[in-house]
Amino acid sequence: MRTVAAVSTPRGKGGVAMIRITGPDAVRVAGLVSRRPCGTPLEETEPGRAVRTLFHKGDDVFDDGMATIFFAPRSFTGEDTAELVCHGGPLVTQKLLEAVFAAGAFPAGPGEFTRRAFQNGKMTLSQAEAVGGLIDAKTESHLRTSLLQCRGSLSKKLNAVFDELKFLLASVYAYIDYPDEDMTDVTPEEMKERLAKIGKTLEALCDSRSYGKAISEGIRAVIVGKPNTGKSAFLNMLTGEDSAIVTDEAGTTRDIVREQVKLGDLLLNLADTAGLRESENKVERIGIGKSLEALSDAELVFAVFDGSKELDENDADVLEKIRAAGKENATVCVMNKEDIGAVSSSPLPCGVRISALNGSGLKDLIPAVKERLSLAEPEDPGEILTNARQYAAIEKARTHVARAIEALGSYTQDIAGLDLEMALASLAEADGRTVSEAVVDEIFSHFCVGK
Amino acid sequence: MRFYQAEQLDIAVVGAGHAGIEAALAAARTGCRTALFTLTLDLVANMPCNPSIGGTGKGHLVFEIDALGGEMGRAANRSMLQSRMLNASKGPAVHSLRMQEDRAAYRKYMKDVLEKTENLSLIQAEVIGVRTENGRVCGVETAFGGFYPAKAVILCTGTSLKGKIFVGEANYEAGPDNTVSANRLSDSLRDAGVKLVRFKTGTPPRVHADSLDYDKMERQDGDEDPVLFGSDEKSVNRLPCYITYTNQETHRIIRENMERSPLYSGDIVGTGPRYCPSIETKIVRFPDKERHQIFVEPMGLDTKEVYLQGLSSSLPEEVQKEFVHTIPGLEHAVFMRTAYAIEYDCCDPTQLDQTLAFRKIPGLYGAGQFNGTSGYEEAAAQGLVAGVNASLFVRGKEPMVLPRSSGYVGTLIDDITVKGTDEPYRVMTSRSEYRLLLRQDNAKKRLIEYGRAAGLVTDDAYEAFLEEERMVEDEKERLSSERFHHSDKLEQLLEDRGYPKLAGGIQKAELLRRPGISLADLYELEGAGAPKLPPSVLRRVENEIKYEGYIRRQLEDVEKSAKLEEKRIPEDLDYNAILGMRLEARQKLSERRPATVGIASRVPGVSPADISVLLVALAQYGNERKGDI
Repeated sequence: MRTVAAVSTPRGKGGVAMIRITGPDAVRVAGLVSRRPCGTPLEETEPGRAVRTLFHKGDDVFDDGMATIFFAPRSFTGEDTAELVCHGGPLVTQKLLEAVFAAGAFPAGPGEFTRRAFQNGKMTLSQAEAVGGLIDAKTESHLRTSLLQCRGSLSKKLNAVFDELKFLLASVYAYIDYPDEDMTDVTPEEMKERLAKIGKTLEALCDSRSYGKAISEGIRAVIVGKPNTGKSAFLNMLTGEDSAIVTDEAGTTRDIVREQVKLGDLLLNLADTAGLRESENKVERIGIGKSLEALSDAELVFAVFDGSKELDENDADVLEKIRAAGKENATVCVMNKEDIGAVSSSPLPCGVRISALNGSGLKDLIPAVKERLSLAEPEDPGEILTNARQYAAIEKARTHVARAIEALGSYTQDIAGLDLEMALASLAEADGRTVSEAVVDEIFSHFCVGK
Repeated sequence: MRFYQAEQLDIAVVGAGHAGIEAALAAARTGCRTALFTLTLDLVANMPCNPSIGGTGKGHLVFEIDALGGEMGRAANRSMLQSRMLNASKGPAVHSLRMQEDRAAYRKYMKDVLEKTENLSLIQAEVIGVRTENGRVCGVETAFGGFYPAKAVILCTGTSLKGKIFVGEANYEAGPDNTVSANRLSDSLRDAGVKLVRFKTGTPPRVHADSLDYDKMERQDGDEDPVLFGSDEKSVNRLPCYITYTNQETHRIIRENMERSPLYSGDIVGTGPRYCPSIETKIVRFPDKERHQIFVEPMGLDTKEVYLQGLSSSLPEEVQKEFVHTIPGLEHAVFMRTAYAIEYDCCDPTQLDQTLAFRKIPGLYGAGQFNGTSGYEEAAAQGLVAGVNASLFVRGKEPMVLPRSSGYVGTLIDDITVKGTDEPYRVMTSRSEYRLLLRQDNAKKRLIEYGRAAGLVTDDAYEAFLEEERMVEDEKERLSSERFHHSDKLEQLLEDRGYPKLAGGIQKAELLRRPGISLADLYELEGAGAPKLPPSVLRRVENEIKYEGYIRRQLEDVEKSAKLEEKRIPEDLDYNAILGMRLEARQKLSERRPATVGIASRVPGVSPADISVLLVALAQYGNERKGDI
């Protein structure tokens, strides 16, 4: 096992940066780039205690920082490890990393620290997967679900389904392996009923996926409206930052501004678009084209109107474009400028009155979005599917169960048995009971260098 | 003991049962000087238990043996009394052919084939020792003082190795059908480093045909159109079987005498087969069952002996007679052979690799009941694989390994060598995850290339196979490209099978895919224009079109798992350095040293979590290797 190192803090300028070194030579390498003011070698300091040190490469002392050493197996990776904290400038960090490489460490690959931790028995595959979830979590609800699943709440649910499928399969096996004896315990009718129940359970899990995705990966949302209704101001109200340029001049936003914002427990991947209107301006026309693309791709549409005035034909045109894109049922009408007046009312069933200027109406927006997208929060947060891989596997199991029910109607039990076997295999994959190289790779591929 | 130097052999096969025969034929037919040793030349290819070949899963094995170039299928076809396709009303994956056999004709056929095979000598002598030199096999020793030098030895000792027969309180040393048992070989094998265990099996009574009342039993005839194993000349059903049932009175007698069974008194220490239990075991295990089915099967054309399948027992003869006489049709049955249990030495098959060679004793192979399996078909399948591999070994060639996805032979060998078995292993269709791909009808397509590469498939057989393949492909192609136009006959068929009317015509293959509609229905519609194809081609065309979706999905599964199945584990991998793997898994894998991740994943005591750790460790290993260049 070679000794590897990487910067474990985010790229760019920061107050401090941390370089993690792991492997049999980690402590020696750290010692080679450190010089303690008190003169004690780093190797002899107390494990787990951060101590002050100077970082140098040969005679060139370039920074003043902290170092902590850990001995196997008591470290994150389960190997000898050193963590060097330097000042966070890109140049200083780069210099220290180079010194570490010069002292004998190799560059770590993406996810290598977690991978080593896993390999050394410091965590299970599903924990590693949940660690990915914890690192990625941007909403409280995603964090809560990741933690619960880290402790196995989903596995428990899947176990019950697993056992039931196995029982039914055993009966199918008796049916095919003992043709001369009346060994079947379960009639096709009973099997159908029991499978329908399993199907329901899996369906409920799959249904939780839309909420799970909304709290983990986020909902693709787009803001549309005729020019100058305050779309960008609405975006700023959501983000709480001046991320889009807001002016009084119509047609200011010509490119699409993308933002990831939290709306209550939900995560929105927002696209603010150029105002939708007929335009002579070539650049603006390109912008409008992009807006239409974003609209057709969106899972959620915020249509912004000036609620302080009567709606005009330009607003009607916006509504027409929403209808043409088939997004009527995914649209929340945002009636802006409540601070000026409430003249027009929402042209579609779901509308919320707000003032992007003073921030009123934000709290009504959350239930409106949830209602529009039928995002009920499932009772048990541990049973929410936030993970796309698990969802795909469970969805596959659900399809096979449905097929098995169909096969029982038109073929014999042994054919249904094939579907049951495939359903079991899919569930086993969701649950980490079976492994494929693809799954292992997939899990670690989500990590970047330094994790 | 002093030994004289007998003739030099390439391969010595110990035992001329179903495993030994296929092993010796495969070895001799591929050019190795082979000797087949047997305790008695009169019982070569004996069927000491049921007079039948095939059955669920077992039928598949016989088709596969035939595809690989083995002899069992032909012998069965030519000695058959009755042929019946089991599970015929179920899906094609589980159709299993079973044939009643004339035992004497079967033995005669096989002995004749053996005697006429070049390079093969058939020798009546007890092998009492396997000699090794520097850990390698160098020959066998017989009870008559002969030392036969050999480069490879295949052990096919069946139930003869330290065989012991039990009938109630009576027991004595003997092999099957009261042959002498081979008592000295076990010690020699232990000295060579072979780990032996003790298993048990049993057989039911045989009674006189004229003493039975057939009117009280159900007659069971063979199929109208008897199917044969592989491509062979036609054969006809000659004799019927009969079915009868045990009853509460039968069960009472057995229950009351249970303590007189050596199975329950503790005299028998060997483990018996769960899937072929004795009648007393069935009654203990299924106390709620009101009756058990008994098949009354003829033993041959020239004998009055009748076999009572389902009544395997080790109870005293007196009790056997009493309970048999409670069964309808058997009230006056005259006993000819008493049922008995037999206990024998066999090896722990996890000592073998996938070529059926002992990993630690180069040149030593095992097959059949010696490897802990049960059944003639399981034995023959292993015999063939061991014979081919011993021959390849002697000739210094790459071994033949049949993957699980290629058939039940590969599945069976993978199961016993990787997982081991704690009772006599029986093949079953549920043991394969690729059932629908491993049908009887496509055995040749799956395996003939292996047999051809091994040198067991003749040019004629191969040409015939290619011709059949072409017919299958052409007919599938035709049905996928032609349509039925609207007609009254088509309307009528759909209505009869409960389908709604069609607006226009329908593609022929699409019609065939509908449940309840058969290829015969299609040909009926086509009338005089329907092609005349051999039944084996028709079966394949029908199955491959009808179940196309399932077949495709299973093929995808095979492909998906092939990656792990074929991912090699470096021979020098230090499992103990992979700390994330549980200690038990590290120990098991260090001991077995599986060649691929696929095999490692099936080693008992290794969990999926261990395998994912292994995968990550292998990636690391690979990266570091790459980096070092």
